[in-house]
Amino acid sequence: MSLKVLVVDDSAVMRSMLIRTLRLSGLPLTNVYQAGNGAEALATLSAHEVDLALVDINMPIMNGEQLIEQVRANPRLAGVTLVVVSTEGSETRIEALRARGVSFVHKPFTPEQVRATVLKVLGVADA
Amino acid sequence: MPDLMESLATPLAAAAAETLEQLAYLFAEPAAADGVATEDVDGIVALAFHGPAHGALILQLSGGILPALASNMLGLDGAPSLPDQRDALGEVANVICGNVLPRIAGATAVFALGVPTPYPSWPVATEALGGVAAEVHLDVEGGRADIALVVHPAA
Repeated sequence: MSLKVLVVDDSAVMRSMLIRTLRLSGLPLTNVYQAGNGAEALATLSAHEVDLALVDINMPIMNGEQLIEQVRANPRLAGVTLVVVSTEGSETRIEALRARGVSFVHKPFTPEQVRATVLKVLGVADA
Repeated sequence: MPDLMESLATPLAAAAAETLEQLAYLFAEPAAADGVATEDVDGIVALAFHGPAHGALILQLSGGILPALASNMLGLDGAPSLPDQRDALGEVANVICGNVLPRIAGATAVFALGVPTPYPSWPVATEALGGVAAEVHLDVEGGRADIALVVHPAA
């Protein structure tokens, strides 16, 4: 398994932290792309093949929920696995995301939590 | 009013200490001195929230811990750039706010969080955002974190 990952967050510090956490988690990354909002993420997804997108919810221009809608509505992006990484604490909203086939990682996160969630959503057994 | 202050301050202190520890590897404990720090302030940021209640969370770091907080978040040895330090401060406020709201409003309450906004001083922030409902002060590895929660009933 090798992963091409897109990290979408309006905070550059959080993007860097998440990428470092992905590397510390031991997940096999081949390409890592970054976007500061949903619109930038869509542009990246149209230009590059991506397996996994880690998406914040609260972002300017196009938020994470709007991005998820756009990805889900585009058959060409059906292969992109979506994981929301957010401070969101409302079970109501988290369940709504899960109902749309999106997994969830809560901030603050550990490498182990990120690894477990990504492997589970990809249907890969942890070695 | 003291009961409300206490019922909000306890989860606020817990959410702040957990966030500082898990996000930035900085350990916090209740401050030895009362009141908000007025000297050697590193930065102040506020984050508005809207939902069953609306208000804001205000975070002030002082005593030189902001560069350490940002470098820990980024995994750097030296001090990050000032924009990265401001970004880190806002992200910590965002995570504290996202973690404290379910503790005080319940796990099913849905809130929308705003964008972290810098303020020049604590009095300017509290005056602009309204009355403070709870305030906690933490000693953080040689520095200090002052955190306030402004809460207004839903309109």
